[in-house]
Amino acid sequence: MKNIFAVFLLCLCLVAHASEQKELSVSHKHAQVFFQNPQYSSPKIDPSGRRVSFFEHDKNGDKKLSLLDLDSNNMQIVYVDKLDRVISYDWIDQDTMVLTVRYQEHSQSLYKFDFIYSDGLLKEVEQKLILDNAYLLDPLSNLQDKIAIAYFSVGERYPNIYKIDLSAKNTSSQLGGKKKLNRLAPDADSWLFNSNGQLQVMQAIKEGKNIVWYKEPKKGRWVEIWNKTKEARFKPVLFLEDKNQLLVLNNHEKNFIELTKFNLADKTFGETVFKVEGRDIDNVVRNQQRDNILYASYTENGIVRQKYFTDLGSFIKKHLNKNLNARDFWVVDKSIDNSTVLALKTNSRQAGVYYLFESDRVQLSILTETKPWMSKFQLGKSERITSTSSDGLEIESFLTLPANSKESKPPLIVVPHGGPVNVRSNREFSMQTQYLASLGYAVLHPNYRGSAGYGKEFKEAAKQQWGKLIEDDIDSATQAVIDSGLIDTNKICIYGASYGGYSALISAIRRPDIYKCAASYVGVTDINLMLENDFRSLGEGNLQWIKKYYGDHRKQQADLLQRSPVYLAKQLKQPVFLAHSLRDDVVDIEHYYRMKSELVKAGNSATTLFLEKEGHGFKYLESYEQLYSSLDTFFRKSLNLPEPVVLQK
Amino acid sequence: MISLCKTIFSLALLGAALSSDLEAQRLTPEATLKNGHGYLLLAVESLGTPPKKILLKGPKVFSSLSIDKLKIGDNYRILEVPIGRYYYSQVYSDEEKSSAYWEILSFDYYIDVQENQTSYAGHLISEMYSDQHTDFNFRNRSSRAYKYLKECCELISKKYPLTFTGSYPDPFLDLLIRE
Repeated sequence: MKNIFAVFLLCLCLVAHASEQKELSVSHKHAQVFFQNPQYSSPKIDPSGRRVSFFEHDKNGDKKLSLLDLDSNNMQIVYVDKLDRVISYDWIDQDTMVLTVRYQEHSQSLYKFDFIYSDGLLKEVEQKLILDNAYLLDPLSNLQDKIAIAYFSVGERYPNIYKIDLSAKNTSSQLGGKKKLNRLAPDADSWLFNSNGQLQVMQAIKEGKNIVWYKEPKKGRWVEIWNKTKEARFKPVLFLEDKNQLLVLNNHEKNFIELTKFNLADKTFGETVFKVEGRDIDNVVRNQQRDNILYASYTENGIVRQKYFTDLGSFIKKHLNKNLNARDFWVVDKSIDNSTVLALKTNSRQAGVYYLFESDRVQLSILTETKPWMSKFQLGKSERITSTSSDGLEIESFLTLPANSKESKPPLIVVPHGGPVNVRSNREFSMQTQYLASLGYAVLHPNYRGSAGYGKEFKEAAKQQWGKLIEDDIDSATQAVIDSGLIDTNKICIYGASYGGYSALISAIRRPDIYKCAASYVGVTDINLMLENDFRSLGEGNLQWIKKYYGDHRKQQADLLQRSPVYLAKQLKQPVFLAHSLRDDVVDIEHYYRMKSELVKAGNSATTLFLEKEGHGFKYLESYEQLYSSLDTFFRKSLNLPEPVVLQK
Repeated sequence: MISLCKTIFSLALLGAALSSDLEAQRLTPEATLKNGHGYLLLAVESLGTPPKKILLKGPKVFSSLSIDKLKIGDNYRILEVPIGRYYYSQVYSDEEKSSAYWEILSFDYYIDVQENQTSYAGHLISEMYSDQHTDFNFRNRSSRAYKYLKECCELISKKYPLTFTGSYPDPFLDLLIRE
C-alpha cells in the first residue's frame, strides 16, 4: 500500500514538473538566457596598476570578488559573496580595499580588506569591520591610510562626515564631535574634498532649492555661495585651490550646461572650460588625485562621448585608432601614473568588452567580454531619426530594427522613457531593447520635450504638458517611422514604465488609430493621486516646482482628471497590459488598482502582472524575465503575430 | 480627605477614558450608528515588524483610540466613533517597554469622521525594519479600502457609504461607486 502511494506521489510530482516545464513559453526561455548578470562586473585597477579586481558572477547567483595579477596572470578569489551583500568596493592603496556591505535591508557597513602577498601571490586577506551605518565618500588617494566617510548616528537623517585613519586600531574613537568635518555646518547631501583631503564644498538639494556652501580656508566658516531653485543647474566638480576657484557644471543664464570656472571670492562666473554646441554636458569625472578633471561626458546622436582633460585622451587615440574605433571606448579606471588603463568598448549592438592598455609595454589586450552569450543572437541595429512635433519643436528619437527587418516589415513597439523631465533615452546597449529586437520587434525610443541633455528651453517646454505636447512629440516620432516605410504600420503598440506607463495609456486613448495596444509598468494612472498622495512627503519647497511642471492640482483638478487614464478608461478600447510592483514607493500601487478596476468596469479585461519583490524599477533578473516575456505574449496576442522565433546567428 | 476625593475622581476619569476606547472597538459593524457618530475605517499596512499598538488622538479628551494585534501586510479596523478629526499619534514597537514608541502626531496623518458615513483617509504604511530604519507614510488606497469594506461588510457599505475624508479632495470613490 505504501509503495502504491509512493508511486502515485511520484507520478503527481512528474506531472506537476512536466506542466511547469510546458508552461514556459519560447519568449520566457529566451528571457532566461538573455537577462543574465554579466560574467564579470565592476572591474577596477589597483593604484599601482599591476592588479585588476572584479566581481565574477556564477550561475548560482554567487558573486566572487577576485584579483588578477597582470604580471603572473594569476587569478585569485578574495571573497565569496553568497548573499549579494557587497554593494561596492574601492582601492585605497595597492594592499588595501574598502567594501560597502549591506547588512540589513536598509543598512550598510564599511569593511577593510588588507591583502598580504608573498612572492607575488596573495597569501592572506585580513578582513576588518570599520563601521556600521556608514559609506565611503572619497578614498583620498593622496593621503596614506586615510578615507572620508559618511556616518549616520541613530535617528539622524543627514550623515556626519569624518576622515578615518585606517591604520588606527579603533575606528569609533575617531568619531568624536570635534572630529566631525561638517561640525557647525548645514545639513547637506554631497561633499567635495580638495587634493589634501580637506572638506571644502557641500551641496544640498532640499525644499526645491539648490544650495552650495564653501569653507573659507582661514576663518573656517561655511559661506553660502549659491542658493537658487533646483532647476538652475550648479554642480561643483573640482576645487582649484591655487586660484580659489571652483569648476562647476552650470547653465546660469545659458540654455545648455557647460563646465565653467566660478570665483569664490566674489561669487562670479569665470571662463568656460568646456562646452558642446547644442548639447548639455552630462557628467564630469575627476582624477584620483583630485587635482584635475579626467573627462567630461555628453551625449551626441544617442551615444555617450568623453572629452579627456589629461594626456589620457591622446594616449587612447594613438593606441586605438589603428584598428579600433576609439570613439566607442571610455576609460573605466586607471593606475595613478596612467601606465595601466582599463577601458570599455560598447555600442548599441555590443554589450561591452573590457580592454587593458599597458603603456610601458605598448600593449593592448582584451580582458573579458561582459555578456558573451549575446554573440549567439542577431541583435538589432539602431539609428537616429528626427521628427517635427505639432508646435514645430524638433524631436530626436532612436529606432532599433530587428536583424530580419529586410525580409518582412516588423511590428513596432514605441517606448517612451520615464521622468518625464531630466531623463533620456540613448543608443547605448540596452538588454530590454535588444530582447525585443531579437524576437523580431522594431523598437522606438523618443526623446520628447523635457528629456535630459537638450538644454533648459527644451526641458521647460514640458511644463504642464502631460497628455498634451509631450504625447504630440511621441506621436510625431511614431509618424516619422510610419512614413519611413520600415515597419508594419498596422502593428504598433506602446509600452513604458513610470511616466512611460502613463504615456502608453494616454497615447492609446488619444490615438487609437496608431496604437493597437498599450502596456504600462509602475505607471501613473491618476495625476491627481500622484500630486496629492505620492508627492506628499516632498515638502513645501518642492511644491512650487511641482506646480510649475505638473500644474496646480487644487486649481486645475478638472483638467488633470481629463488627462488621467483612470478617468478616461471607458475610451480605452485596445488591449491593455498593466504591471506594478508591491514595493513601489514612487508611484503607489493604488494607481494600478484604480486603473484595473475602471478597466474592468468598462469591460476591458486587462492583462495584469504583479512583481511582489520589486520597487519602482528593476532589481531582480527574474523580474525582467517575467515582465518582458509577458509583454511579448501580450504584444503577439494583441497584434495577431505568429509564435515567437528567436533570431539567432 | 480632599486628596482622597481627587484620587477617586482621577480613577473615575481614567476608567471613563479606557471604557471609551474599548467601547469603540467592541461595537459590531452592523449596528445602527448613534447620533453624532460615524464609522472610521482604519487601514494599516505593516512592512517589517508589525507595530504592537497604534494610538489615535480623537477630537475630544476621551475619544482617543488604539488598535493592536496587527499582522504583516494589510490590517483593517472599522470603529464607530464620535464625528471629528482623528490623528495618528503614536506607534508602539514593543508593548513591554512603555517608552518604545514613535511619535507621529506631527506628521499630520488624520481622518475626518463624518456623520452617517464610513470615513477613510489613507493607509498608514508602517516600515519597521530596525530602530534605525523605521519609516511611516500615509497613502490613499481608497480602491483597496472600498474592496475590503464591500467584501467584509456589505450592509455598512450600502447604509454608510465609504467617503474619502483626507486633507484634499479625491473624486475617485465617486467614480468607483458609480456603476
